[in-house]
Amino acid sequence: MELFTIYLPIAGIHFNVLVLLLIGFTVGVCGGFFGIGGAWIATPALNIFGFPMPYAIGTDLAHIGGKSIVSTIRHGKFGNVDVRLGVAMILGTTVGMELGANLVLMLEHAGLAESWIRKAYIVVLALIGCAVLADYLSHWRQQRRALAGGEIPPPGPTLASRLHQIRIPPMVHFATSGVTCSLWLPVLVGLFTGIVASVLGVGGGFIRMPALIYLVGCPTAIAVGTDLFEVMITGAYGAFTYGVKGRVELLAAMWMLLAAAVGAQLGTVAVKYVRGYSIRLLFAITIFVACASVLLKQLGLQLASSITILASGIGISGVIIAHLVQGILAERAARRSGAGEPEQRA
Amino acid sequence: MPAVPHPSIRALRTGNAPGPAAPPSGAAGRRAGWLRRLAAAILTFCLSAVPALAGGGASESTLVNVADTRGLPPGLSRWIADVYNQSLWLYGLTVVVVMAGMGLVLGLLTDRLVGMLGVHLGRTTHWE
Repeated sequence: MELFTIYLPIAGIHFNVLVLLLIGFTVGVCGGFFGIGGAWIATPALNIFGFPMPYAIGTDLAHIGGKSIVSTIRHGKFGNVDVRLGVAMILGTTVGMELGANLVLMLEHAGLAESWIRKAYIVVLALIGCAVLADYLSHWRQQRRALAGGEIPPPGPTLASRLHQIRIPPMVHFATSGVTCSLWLPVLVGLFTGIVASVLGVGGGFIRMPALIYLVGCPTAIAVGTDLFEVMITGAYGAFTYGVKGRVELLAAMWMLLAAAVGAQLGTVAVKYVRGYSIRLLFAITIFVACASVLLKQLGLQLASSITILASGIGISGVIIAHLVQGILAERAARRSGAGEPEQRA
Repeated sequence: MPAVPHPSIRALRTGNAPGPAAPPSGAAGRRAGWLRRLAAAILTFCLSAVPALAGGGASESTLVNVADTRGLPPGLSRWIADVYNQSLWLYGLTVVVVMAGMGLVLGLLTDRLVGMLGVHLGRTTHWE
């Protein structure tokens, strides 16, 4: 193992390259598939292997910036990135993050920041997980009824379709997403998710992705691609601001990015083979695991919390890779038999 | 040779501070005792602050982080450490440029590699 140990001059520690590659690959796969940065997996993982926390956060943000470029390029080629929508949301997110930071300062002055934020984090994660899971179960029941030949009730108006009815000018058509709504909708959704992300101290990909689906009305794959576009911008900004503060271990970030680029590419291609609702189910499971991890941290079980998140990250990456391999094999078989591209299976 | 405390400190420790031979009684005595205790407190505070000031006169925000390059051979690690030591602004910019550059190059490279698996990587229709 000594062979793989390198000296990281900025953090002043020795670290195993294989660990950096493993963390990078895991976060790359999950990030490319779900459209998230994955800081909530990588930061505690780096920390339990001996990275000081400020360097863990900064290094993670730096590699997220690079990794998101890889995923965004691939999602862009698949036609999953709505750049106009992404830019509109970035406007709101930037203001929201600033407002959130001020809210955190107010909570700090009141001496409530630490306990309130972690509790809010648990509640937000649980709510998102429950909402996405409930949506998946409702879809699954409808599909079973359809397979049994039963009558399927027409779908009722969704929250997104109700929000599209609010016609405050300027009205904008986002062609890639197929959404026509007031420009204020994505800006305000960005503002809201920015505030929540800033208060919770996270990048916010796991809040924005479901917000793009349920509030803006994007198809799942486009929500994933557009969110990654935004993660790319916020990751680059995070890398710069932590770099200026001297809290980025660039050598470690470069090693992580090597593996994350491969993982991100595989995770992104896996989206092609998995139906939108299956992505939502896996996302809900991931969110519940993250919620359990934060809960363990709240109970003072720091090590158990970090191990839970890292182990589940590796497990979920394995499931995604399995879907990818199945999909590639099916596509190649279909091409050999002349049937063209197969339908998404999972 | 054992350290000999300053006479004033010895006096404060033993309670034999230089002053009138006989302590005054009544209100004047109480005031003198109170002043003596105040002087002792101020002196103790000042003396205890000396090692702290010697250890780091500047505030934490003005302390400079330096990467230790003494044992580093020339190469990537040394270059990173040198940039870090030169200017943190330059280091911040370097981080962004290196990450973005690597992201672009690796993105295009891995794109080619995945293309070699024989899968269609153009625009796709996605089912919900």
